[in-house]
Amino acid sequence: MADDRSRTTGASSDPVRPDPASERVRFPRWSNLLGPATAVVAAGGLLYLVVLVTLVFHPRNSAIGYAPAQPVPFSHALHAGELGLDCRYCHTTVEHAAQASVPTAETCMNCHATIFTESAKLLLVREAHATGKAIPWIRVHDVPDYAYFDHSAHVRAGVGCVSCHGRIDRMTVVSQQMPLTMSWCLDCHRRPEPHLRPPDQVTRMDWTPDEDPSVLGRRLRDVHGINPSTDCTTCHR
Amino acid sequence: MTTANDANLTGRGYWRSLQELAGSPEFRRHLDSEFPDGIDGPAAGFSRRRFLQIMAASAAMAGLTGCRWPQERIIPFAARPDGFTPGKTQQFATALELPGLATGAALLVTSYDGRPIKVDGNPEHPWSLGAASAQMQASVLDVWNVDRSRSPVRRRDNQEVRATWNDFATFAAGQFDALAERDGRGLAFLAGASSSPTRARLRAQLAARFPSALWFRHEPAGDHERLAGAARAFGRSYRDLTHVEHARVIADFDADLLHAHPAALRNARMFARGRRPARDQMNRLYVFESTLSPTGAAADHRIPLPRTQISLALAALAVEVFLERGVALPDGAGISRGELAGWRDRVPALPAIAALAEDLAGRRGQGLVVVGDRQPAWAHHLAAVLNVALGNVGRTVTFVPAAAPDADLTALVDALQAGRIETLVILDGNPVATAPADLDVAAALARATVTIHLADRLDATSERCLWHLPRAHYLEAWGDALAVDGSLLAVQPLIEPLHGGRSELELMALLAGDPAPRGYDLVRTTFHQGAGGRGQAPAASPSFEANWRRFLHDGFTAVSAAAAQTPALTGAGLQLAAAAAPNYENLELVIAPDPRLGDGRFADNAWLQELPDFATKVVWDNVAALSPATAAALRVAHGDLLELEFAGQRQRMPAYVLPGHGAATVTVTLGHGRRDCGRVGRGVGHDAYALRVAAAPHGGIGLKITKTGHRYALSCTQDHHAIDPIGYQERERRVGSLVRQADLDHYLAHPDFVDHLGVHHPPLVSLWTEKGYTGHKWGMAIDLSVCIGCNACQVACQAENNIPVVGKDEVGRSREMSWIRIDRYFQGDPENPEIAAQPIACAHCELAPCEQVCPVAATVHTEEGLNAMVYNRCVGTRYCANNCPYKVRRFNFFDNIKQISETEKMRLNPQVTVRSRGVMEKCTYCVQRIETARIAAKNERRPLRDGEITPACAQTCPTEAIVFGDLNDPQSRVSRARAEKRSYDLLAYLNIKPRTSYLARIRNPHPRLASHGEEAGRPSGHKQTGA
Repeated sequence: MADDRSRTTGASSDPVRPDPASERVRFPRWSNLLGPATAVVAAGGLLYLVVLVTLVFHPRNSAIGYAPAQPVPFSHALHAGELGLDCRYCHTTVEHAAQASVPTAETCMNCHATIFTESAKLLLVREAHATGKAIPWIRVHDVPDYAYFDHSAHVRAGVGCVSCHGRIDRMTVVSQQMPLTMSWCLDCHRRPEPHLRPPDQVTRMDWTPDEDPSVLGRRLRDVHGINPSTDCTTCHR
Repeated sequence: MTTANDANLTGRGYWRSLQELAGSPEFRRHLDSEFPDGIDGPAAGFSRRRFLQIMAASAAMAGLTGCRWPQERIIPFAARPDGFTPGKTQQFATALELPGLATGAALLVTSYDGRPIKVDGNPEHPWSLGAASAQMQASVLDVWNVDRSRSPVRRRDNQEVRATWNDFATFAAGQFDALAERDGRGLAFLAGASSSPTRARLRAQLAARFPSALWFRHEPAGDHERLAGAARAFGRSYRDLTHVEHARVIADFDADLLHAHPAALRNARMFARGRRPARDQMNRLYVFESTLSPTGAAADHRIPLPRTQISLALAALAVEVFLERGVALPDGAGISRGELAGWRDRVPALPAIAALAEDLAGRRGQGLVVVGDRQPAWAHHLAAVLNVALGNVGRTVTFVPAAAPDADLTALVDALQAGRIETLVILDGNPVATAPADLDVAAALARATVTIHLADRLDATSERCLWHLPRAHYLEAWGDALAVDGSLLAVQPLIEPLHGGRSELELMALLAGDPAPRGYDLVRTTFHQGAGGRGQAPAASPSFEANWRRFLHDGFTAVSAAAAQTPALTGAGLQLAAAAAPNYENLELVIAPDPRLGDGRFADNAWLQELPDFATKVVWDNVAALSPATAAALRVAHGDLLELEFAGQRQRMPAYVLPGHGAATVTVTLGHGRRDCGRVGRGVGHDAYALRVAAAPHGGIGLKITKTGHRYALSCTQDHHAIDPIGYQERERRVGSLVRQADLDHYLAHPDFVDHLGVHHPPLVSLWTEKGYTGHKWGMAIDLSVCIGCNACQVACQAENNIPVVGKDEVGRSREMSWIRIDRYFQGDPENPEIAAQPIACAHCELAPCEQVCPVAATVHTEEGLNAMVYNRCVGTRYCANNCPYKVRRFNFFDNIKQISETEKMRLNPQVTVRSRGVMEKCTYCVQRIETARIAAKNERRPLRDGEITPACAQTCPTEAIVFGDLNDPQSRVSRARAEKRSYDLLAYLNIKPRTSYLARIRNPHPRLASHGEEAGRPSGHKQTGA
């Protein structure tokens, strides 16, 4: 095929063309710069890739520290910290269901029917309670939809809230403290001992074991038969 | 190339289609290509250029959207309902009235966040037992159909004008008040068959307000003949209630007892329980039918006959039973021995009839004779006489009173044409599209001044009515129904009407003068009155409230056994109406409702459209089925486009040469070829209503067929993944038959026969380090003895696992997505083959060939032996699918789920990841259910119980053919099934150690009819080494 083409279109052997030399392709002078330019672009591209990959995977750019402003300025520091409410007062289904569940306006109104009844901050809550229209909270801890995390399995096994959510009792605005990446999940699934505590201490934010955490963890593992799986199907269905 | 398939003709091998059996050139070409035709091509109407454009666009979009994780909102309830846990599914009992049968099926519907996503049978109801048919399960898809109508429509000067329910209420108040003053003269109602007590109550209210109003019934596939036959036998309308658990000999005359019968779910369960392969414990099923049904495939003896000859076979049975076997004619038989003797030369002589008569006469009170809805009334009458004479009534069959059917569509058209009707209310159905072709309903409707049509969508009838009103789906509305045994079922909504539809009951109450009817109150009042109360249901009565709550929770109120009756014969005369047998010059046409689409009500249901028909394995189409000999005599080839002419009506349909079809008979199915339904079913298939005439709704003799000279492309799954002759021979030599079966006698003499049907291979040496399984070891056993191929598992899997629908063209390219398929095999004489169904899904091989070739470890083994598919790792090489010996892996050539509308996405199961383009998928053993059960057990600090985990297919299986459990637990049901002698692994020679094993099929033929005797199912070349 290539031979055919050169025979029929090749300038030098074509008898019709009178002056083959004048038809020769001449590159302009600036084209000498193409070589170095290509090298620069290649090097720049490589650098760009490196920077890009570094930025994407840098911990600063993972979701840690993500703290969106919520429609109602609810302070965990006040409620869970100062007032000492148990997590389960609001997150009622955390022990029996995959979702911990965000409280209903009704739960808020249990107290706020009598406390701060005029507060402007609570306007949305009162409105929700009166009209039944939900408060659109923004999800902070968001794992991908193909990862099926189950709160009850973890809470019943004795993994403290603080292990994944950090010191919620000190947060005025909730922020993400852990990377929530798959490798982070697997770290604990492979070696859960440091994160295990007696199931009745799960919601205690300031709990510290009286003994070596890994010794306690090992004992709790044996007692409760905790043997987290690292099979793909454990979390992905 | 060798013609290895010749060996099949001797009856030893199994074949899936006639093309495979004959080794036709097309089939050869299909085999010889390395990949099935078109599997690598783009979708139709999708050029390469367009494909690249879309690819480029989607890559650009991916780049843009990938920058930021999308922000998600959490929307909690302002006040959470009692007992509701966010993220957990809830189940509600409800019921669905089966189209045309006026019988409710008790269901349990799963709701996620208020959205119905899955339909199962109600496990507590004795006539459902947790099973649900393919149609029942697919009905959930119809709620989310995007083409449902969204508002009332009023027709003005031939223009459709959107209106509101208030507009209609205003109109109706004026119109119907005026009618009430005239006692309802000129008013008529057209409705479907229904068992609803509330509807009966409202009908009485309407009759009180409009005493002169007329009432008509239209059911394209009704049971008029059954009711008429019972009325003749017993003096009033009854429906027969079959008790298959007591039956040892079952004679099914075109009734499709296990699949299309009103009591099919329980029948199938009880039939299966009566198939324990032990001496004197197995029932025997004789089936006489024209086309191939699941019941026929499950039969011990299947006799294919033209439809008109089936009632004559029943008459032959009566002659044999009463004259040869000396069974006494019962009182009120309506016929004398002399008259019976006169039948002798008018009925066919069939060897099976003599054997059946012997069985029935020898097992008085343990036999059962059932006749199908397409058989004439006299056949139903005769069956009743036979059941009475044989002592079966009260044991294997009882009777439940039924309302006599109203005047039919023909009477309505006459009344309209006579100008007797001015106002017509159509409560159900689509008579313009589903009327017999010789009945001009459209013209008749034009004679009425006011026509009101309640329907799911703007269909052919709505277009000709003054008012179209959107109908609420049964999952959106309150109602009630009677189950086949007469127990009261609750129909309760799972969601508010999506498009403002209202139910038939609410419309009736509105017309009866209730300005603001609420379905809830209507049903509650009926419940109250049913319990002996008067007037409205009490608002605050603790005892009533408790009963009502219980009713809604259970979904039904049981009836006492006494509700079933054993009426006495009246002695009405029994006349044989003999029809001439069809021949090749004068063919018979059989018109039957489609096993998937019914009478067309499910035509817009993509799951059912893509479900391969049990007999033909055709998707997205219907065919004119005829037997191989008939096709040969008429010089018709498979896939020829034929023109059918019957009683002056014509329709074109593709020919399908179906082994085991009745001779000189062509079967067509209704429900396809709709022009007036949504975009899913529009124009799919061929409308068989065009061939129907009022005088012969089930067809008859006198069909003419001519070849058009055109060919028609059918998408048929039966030849997908076929194997060439050399491969076939080698497979037979090395692994033996895939389907293994034997007669009961042979099995009892050689309990280990399955091992001899396989091949004595050298000891299997593993190339791999095998790992042990110390925890759970999940496995499955499928009993081929009881699998009837009803397709329920396939729809259950589709609903549970978010399996996409890909369309006819894609299926034609072997790209169907179903995770479980039902292979259907024939064996023996093409005119009357034995048929076997074999469900195949991923077998979770311990030494899985797919895992060995995956370059990215996207398919891996778990600690419990599941062959897990990791979608995020998959790069779409498809090596695994090529290396899978069972051919159960499915590849997403397109973003199939992305293409469906947002409304339809509401029905997706959130427990299962939705797969995107370029990803392989396959059966997971419903791993989401395993994990959910495991977490629940762990939270309660207890071990998992056997039976706690049930995959969707096993859960819905009417015959309990599929058993799932832990193979490390010797007491589990699956371990016990595997320990049976007839358990075998498919392709064991490959040493892949599948976790799914099969139990060989055991048939129980009459000793005199056993065609293969002791050799049944055994490869002939293997006799020497066998037992």
